[in-house]
Amino acid sequence: MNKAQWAMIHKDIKEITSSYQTFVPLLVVPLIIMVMMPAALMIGAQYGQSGLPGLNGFDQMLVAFGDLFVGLTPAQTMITVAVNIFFPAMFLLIPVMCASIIGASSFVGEKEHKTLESLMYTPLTLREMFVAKVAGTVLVSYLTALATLFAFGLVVDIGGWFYFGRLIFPNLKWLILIFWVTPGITVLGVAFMVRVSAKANTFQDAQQMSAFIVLPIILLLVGQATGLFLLDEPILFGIGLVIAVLDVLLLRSASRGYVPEKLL
Amino acid sequence: MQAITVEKVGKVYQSGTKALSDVSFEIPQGEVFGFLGPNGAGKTTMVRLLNGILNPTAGHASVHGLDVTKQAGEVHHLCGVLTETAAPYESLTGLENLKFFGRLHGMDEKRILSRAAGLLQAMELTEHRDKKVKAYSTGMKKRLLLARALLHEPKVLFLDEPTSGLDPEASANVTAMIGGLVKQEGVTVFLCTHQLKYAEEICTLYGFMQQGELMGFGTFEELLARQGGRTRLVLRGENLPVLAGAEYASGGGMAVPVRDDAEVSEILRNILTGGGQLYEARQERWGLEELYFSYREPKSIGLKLEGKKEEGGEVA
Repeated sequence: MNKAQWAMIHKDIKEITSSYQTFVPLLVVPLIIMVMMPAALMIGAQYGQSGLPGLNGFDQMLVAFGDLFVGLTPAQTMITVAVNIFFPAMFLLIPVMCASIIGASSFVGEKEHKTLESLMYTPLTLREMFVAKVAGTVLVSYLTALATLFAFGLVVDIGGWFYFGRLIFPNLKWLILIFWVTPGITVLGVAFMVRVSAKANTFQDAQQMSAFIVLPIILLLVGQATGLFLLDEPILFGIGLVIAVLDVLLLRSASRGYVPEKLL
Repeated sequence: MQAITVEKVGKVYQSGTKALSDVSFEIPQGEVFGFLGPNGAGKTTMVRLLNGILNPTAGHASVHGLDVTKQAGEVHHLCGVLTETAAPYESLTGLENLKFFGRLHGMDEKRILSRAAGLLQAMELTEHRDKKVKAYSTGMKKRLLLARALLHEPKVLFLDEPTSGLDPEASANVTAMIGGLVKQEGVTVFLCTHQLKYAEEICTLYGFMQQGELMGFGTFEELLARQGGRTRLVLRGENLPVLAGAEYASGGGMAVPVRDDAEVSEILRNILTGGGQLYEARQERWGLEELYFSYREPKSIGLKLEGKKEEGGEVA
């Protein structure tokens, strides 16, 4: 990337951090989902010794995991289930949310605030602009997801130490999620937003349209919670692969549609 | 040297809308070209096209010899654009806006800061340079946009209503600055405006657009000559005879096109000898407003002129 593209990324980050509309959800949602909820779990696990394993069908769900829960106390079981089954799916909401908010600000925001045409009068080509905007949005979204995971890891490992006497995060599943699935899903969210930017005229329009991309993750979450579809390592790897292919296809199509006549 | 060359350019949007049709003109370097026409005439499309943002569907255009379609990046280095459809970043400060656009133009930091300081001072924005643009008034935003357009020292300046929203003093300063750029640095100005009085004050060359077609192009004198170079004799009185080509003039009088003083003298003599009473007789040379409307609606020029004068002299 050239200097002008870095200037574009720098400007986009500055705009995102200076707008409450974008910055507040980026801060609050990860804090609630990946910090406050696990913290509540760690504190609450000691009081719910017989709660979770007593749930209807929970025993059958545990069987699907083989030896994972053998020999664990009820509190340890509850924490293991949450950290390895529920939070991975919950976490996937973070990069999608970041990508859609930052992407809406970066792509649709330019259109809404009539600044896109200003950029078109500069020597930066539309393709360079597209690459800079995609790279900047993916970078910020992924870094936000990583920062969220770091905070999640701190809470889970500190809390988990009291129950397990060892570090419980990250394991192989989380590593696949962090370094394989998350970058892919971030790019997917951004590519989706670029497509949306050709149709949406305001930040709110774009946000409403972006709800569609959250649906598969909600379904995944439901699948996890009901035990219908449990994410193990091979499935996660496969999901990452499918997402990577979708990324390439969507980005190609999005860049073809990123032309002045559709944007102005 | 020609700063802008447009040859048989046409533009039809994907939606099927015909925005430009067979438009040709050449603007020499150092001219202030007034591109005049009502909304929807194709002015914005032409500005976008000459800056390589849109591609023509017919014909060819170049800026300082550079093909606007194939060499758009180089054209952007040469051109500065101020248009109401290209806004500044409101969440950034005035100075941050200039720094950002300076970087996009490949300027080094030292040059950006020095140019920005000079332009902010010229636009009387120095004390507001660290305020976010969302706190700026309309006039301040317009001055910042002009500073942004001039930042990289363009050779061709595209200005869309540069003085709208400015107070008279700021407007005069901007006009003086544009004049200075043209005289001292040979900058070519492509001015789109609805304010015909302003265009008449500043422009040296004109193009009249209507529904995507160029109705007239040239200097004021050339355009006037093409329309017959008519001077009008406005008469007010009683028992005036019906004169050939006479049109209604507001206030109860009539306006007659005349060629020269001899014809005026003859008309007046005929009226007086024929028993007519004259209270007022004056010759009116066309201004830009009259000339413009004569190209847009040549057959109804007389009536339109009187109506438009009462409206204050702005194009629709």
